[in-house]
Amino acid sequence: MEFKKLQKKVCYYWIIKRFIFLVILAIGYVLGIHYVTTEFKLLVIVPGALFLLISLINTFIFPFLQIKVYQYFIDDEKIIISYGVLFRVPIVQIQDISSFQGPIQIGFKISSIIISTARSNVVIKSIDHLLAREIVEDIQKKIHKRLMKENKDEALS
Amino acid sequence: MKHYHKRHIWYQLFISLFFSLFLAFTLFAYLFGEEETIELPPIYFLYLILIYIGIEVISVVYILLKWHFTTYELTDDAIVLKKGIIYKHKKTLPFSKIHAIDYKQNIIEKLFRIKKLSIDSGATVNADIAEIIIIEDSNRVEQLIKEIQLKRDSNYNEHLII
Repeated sequence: MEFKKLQKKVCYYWIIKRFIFLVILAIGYVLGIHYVTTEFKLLVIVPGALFLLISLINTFIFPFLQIKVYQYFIDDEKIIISYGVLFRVPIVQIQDISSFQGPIQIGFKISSIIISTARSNVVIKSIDHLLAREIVEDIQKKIHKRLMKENKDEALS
Repeated sequence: MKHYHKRHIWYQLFISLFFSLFLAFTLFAYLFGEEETIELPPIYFLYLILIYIGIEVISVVYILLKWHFTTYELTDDAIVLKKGIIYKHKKTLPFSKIHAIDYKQNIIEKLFRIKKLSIDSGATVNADIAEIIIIEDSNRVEQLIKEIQLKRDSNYNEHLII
């Protein structure tokens, strides 16, 4: 079983996405310090700084760790997505497939695939948009093939 | 890929008209107040008109763009829906996975002779993304239902033949 890894550009996409959030947070923090009255200043400075620090780590360190851990596998029977937690989706249980592209993802030519089952949604995060299209078509074919096999077995029995 | 019916644009504009009236009333309510209590310089009136026109233009452009970027297609084995102006979303629902097909029509939609066809995949996690919605002419919706049922059946029969 050979797992596929995400491309490196996904890492840069995550950094940019989180950096935008970080900038908004930093602006809010600075404004907070500036406008809050002195007696409440400590209440804003300490938790705000902690939150900023966590966001900073989340922006510049986590993406590199995430990309190392994140991997997926697709065969005729199942889809497995692993990023610390392991998600296993049997092909037969897939109800529909969606692909999603945000404005930054369009710039990086990447998109996410959302696989819906009756129970949950599983997301293959940010892969090359051409590959995503291929995967969607491939999964569709696999569903078709699997159903064909099931119906054939049913008819024979 | 096909767009929703053009009358859907008129329907959306008609709905937005109510919001426009509400917005106009909110923005210009001060004009109807008592003169002693509310007195704004005339330049504010101009600003309000500009804000109002701006919001209206944005909402009309949004409606047109939303219509332009929402397309659907019935392929051989699935229904594909593309939507989103900034955030692009492409949904593929195989015919074999269709759980339910139904249509809705409210009184205003009836006026514009359009119907909302919703095709449910049966995924229960998020009802909004679990279904595909197609807005078409009333007659076309009936036709689409038949077409989808036919394709779903032919897909099933194809499996049996093989």
